[in-house]
Amino acid sequence: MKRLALPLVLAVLGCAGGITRGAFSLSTPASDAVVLAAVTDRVRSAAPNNLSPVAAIVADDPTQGLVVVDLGSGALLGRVAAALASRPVVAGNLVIGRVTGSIVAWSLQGSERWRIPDEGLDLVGASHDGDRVAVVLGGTGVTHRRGVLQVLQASDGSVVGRTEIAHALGLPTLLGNEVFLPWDGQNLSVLDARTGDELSRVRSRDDVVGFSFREGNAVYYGARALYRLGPESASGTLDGTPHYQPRSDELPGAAPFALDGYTSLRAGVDARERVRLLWRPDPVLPGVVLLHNTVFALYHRDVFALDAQTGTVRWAYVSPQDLAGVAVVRAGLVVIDDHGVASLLAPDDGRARWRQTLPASGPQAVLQLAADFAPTPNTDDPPRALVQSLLEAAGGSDARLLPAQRFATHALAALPGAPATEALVALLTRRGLSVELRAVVGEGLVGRSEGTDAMLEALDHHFDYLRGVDVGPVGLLARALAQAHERRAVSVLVSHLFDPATPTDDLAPIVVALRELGDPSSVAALTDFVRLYHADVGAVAPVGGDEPIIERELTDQDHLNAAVEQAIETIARMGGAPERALLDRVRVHPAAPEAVRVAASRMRDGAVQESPTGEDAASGSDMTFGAPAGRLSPEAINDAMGQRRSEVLACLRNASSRPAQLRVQFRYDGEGRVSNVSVMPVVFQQCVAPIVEQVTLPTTVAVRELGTWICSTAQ
Amino acid sequence: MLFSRSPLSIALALCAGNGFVSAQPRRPVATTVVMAHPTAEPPAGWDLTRSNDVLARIQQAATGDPRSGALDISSALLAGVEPHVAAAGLDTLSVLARPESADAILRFLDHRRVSLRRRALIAAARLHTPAMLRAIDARLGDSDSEVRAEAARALADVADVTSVRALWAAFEHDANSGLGAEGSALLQASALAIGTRGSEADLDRLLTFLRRVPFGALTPAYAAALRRTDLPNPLKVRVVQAIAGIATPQARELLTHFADEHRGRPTPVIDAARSAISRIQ
Repeated sequence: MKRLALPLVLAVLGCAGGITRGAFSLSTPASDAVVLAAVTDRVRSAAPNNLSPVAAIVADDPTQGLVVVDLGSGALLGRVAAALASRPVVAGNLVIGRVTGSIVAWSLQGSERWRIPDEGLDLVGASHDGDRVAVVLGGTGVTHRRGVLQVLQASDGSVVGRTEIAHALGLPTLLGNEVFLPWDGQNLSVLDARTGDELSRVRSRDDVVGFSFREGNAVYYGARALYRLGPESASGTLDGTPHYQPRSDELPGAAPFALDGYTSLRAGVDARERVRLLWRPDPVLPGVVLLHNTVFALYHRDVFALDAQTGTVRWAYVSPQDLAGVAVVRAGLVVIDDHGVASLLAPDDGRARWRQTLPASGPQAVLQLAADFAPTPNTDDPPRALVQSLLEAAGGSDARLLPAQRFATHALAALPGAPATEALVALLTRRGLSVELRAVVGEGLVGRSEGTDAMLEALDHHFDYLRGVDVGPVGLLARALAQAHERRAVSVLVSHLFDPATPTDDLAPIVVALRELGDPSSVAALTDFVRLYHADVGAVAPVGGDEPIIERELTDQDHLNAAVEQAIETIARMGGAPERALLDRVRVHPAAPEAVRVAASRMRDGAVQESPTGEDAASGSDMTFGAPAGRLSPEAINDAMGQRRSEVLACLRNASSRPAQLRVQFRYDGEGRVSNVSVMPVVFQQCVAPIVEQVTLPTTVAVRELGTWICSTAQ
Repeated sequence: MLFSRSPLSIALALCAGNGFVSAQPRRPVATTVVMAHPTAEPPAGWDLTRSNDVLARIQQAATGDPRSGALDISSALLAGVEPHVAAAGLDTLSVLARPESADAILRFLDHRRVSLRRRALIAAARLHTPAMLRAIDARLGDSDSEVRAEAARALADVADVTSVRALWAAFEHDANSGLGAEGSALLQASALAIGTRGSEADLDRLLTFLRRVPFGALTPAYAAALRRTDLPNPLKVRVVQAIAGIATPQARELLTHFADEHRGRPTPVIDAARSAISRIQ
């Protein structure tokens, strides 16, 4: 450790149990509750820090500098023409940034106040209080252990104290004569601003410390959780210290609770800044309570307001442009987009209550806002329902936003009621919906019993080239309607079964849905379907005569066969003697695919066993209209597949992107053998399919069934 | 007798057997007899699991009584046969053009195989009933481009006023889509059908598409319109003059071909065509 201007003033500590060994010494014990209570008292009695509401907006090309804007008036305060090397910091009345070889401080009006050598390090952070500013250099991660703390006169940059250590330093907080400084990811030391002496220390035993900041009359610290500095901090444990920790549910882009305090951000667009959580503690309330009891998840241009305790989505906001800067205040959430429009979003529903076009725009806006910043409302945007805002967030064509869209879709699916169902259907029928999102929406629909009218209405549309009506998600809707026991769907499902535009892979889900709905009126249609397609194999000469050609791809033929198999099983279970007679022809038809013949044979035999008297069969008295026994429940599939989940998840290692879930479709037979595995996203097919094929499911009376396993990839 | 035959050979044999080889569509048959409907069960004595046997049965059924033949073939198709057998059956139903085959044709208009839907369209046009026309109209919106074009071609022979409206929808859809240098097959076929079956107003409307869609797509339509005897000469003169306004080698070729077809029959239309030809370099 190297110190300059470091008179030894241990006497000023004035407390028992103070630091007795060198600052940043790894052998120095953590402070006890008495010491920390004294520190907390000094924080509580500190003079308030009045902050100007400003935004430092970095130019599109960071080498062109930045512009400082007064957010209270919307006026341009100053311009800085300097080639910024990393994200600047606003500290009181200074804007501090790194330019080539130097750390430079400018006034809010853009005039240079002072500069110091950067010592080959990046700017980690700065904190202003009174007439001083604390600047921390380092910024290459917690494992690169070299850092410099400089306490300077804000007016001219003259050095009050300087400490260089072989440790990684985090975001500092200057408060009076003390600097609160996280270091090495584990400690928060309180240093004498003038001497660098360590006055007290909090050492976390089971968590990470990366930042510290002052809010009102409290100092907070943490990294993955938020702690309020107090006597309890002496425990050094998560449980022993008042804290807030966000729920670990998957957030869009796996947004971290806080930015890494040991790593500097780039000037300009930095993805880490665009995907993160935002929050602000309320120091007025005891313990650790967040303003609005809300955590805001930012994802480029989307914001989700989440209940801080439950993680429930309260609202979503989709900005027309990417968000360059965001800050939480008591009045709501201040956002500045990269086109230079600032807005204040209401904390209760996310509608804009204030909007201001700023005199500058750029990809990065560094905000300094006091908690009580409250611009006068100047918009009359109508209230927005949660469903509406989530639908907006789930839609769109920006491929970058897929994680946010997925998150919004899951949130929609979690909402009860018909409006949420209608929103999901609207999403599902939207053109250009990505395959992955389509699967997520489809799964979200399955199991919903409210709002089936919207599903039925969506099914009413058939492909029409002239009217521009596309093929709908028939298979997914069929599954959802069957789960909802919506018998009104039977006729429209039948119409899709015979629509040549219906994708072949949707046919089997339609048939299964018809079986599960158990309506006798579908038996005739299914019988016609089997008649038409049970031997529909091989080449046909084109119109006008020529060599016969095979019009169907193998996968399509396989899907068609699967649908015929399902229809055969349904006929066997629900049909009467005339329908079953068809199975006699099918099982001996030489042109029928083997799988179809075998299914007919087994079903015919099974049906005879179920109905030993031909009289019963002829009268149709053995019809069963409920879902047939023998299919595995989703839980049973999940239990069996879950045993191989870790192997499946290993397939995701080193993947360029990690999906929230894998959708695995497969067939299984009565012996529990799994085959024909199809994995979404397809990029994981090659790795996952062989693993799934090794799973043995519980035995059933099923002949060949279709199964789906949704494998969550959350760790 | 069991033997293997291609669908085309059966249809040709059938035409010869029935004593007609004309490709002209049949006129609908007016009858007071209660129409029988096919069942979805194999006709008596037909083993649908043996395709050669079924092909032979189809030929026999077609060369016998047309009504019972259409019923038997339709029943077999509805009961389920292999696709190449279905193709032969539909070709035969097309030639028989019996109303008893309506159920089977309607079913195969929705078949998943493009080749069978196209055959069903041809058979439907031969039936030429309002229900069949509406079913053909619907196929103009098919998911397959070949089927859409086949539907338009089928309507060129039988379209009624409602069908012409549907053809306009198809034509304008693809006219706006800008598909290919010669336009899509549907554009060409629907233009031809409008030229063949459209009213005087339809022809005038078609003229407004000159220079807006590829001329090659319109040529057969205008040629067909000029050949029609039900259209008044003033309209045909307007058509000739509009084509002459294009003044391209294609336009000259079309008018020359028309004038040559009507050599020795001077009419105002032919005179206008010859005059236009002389002006086009």
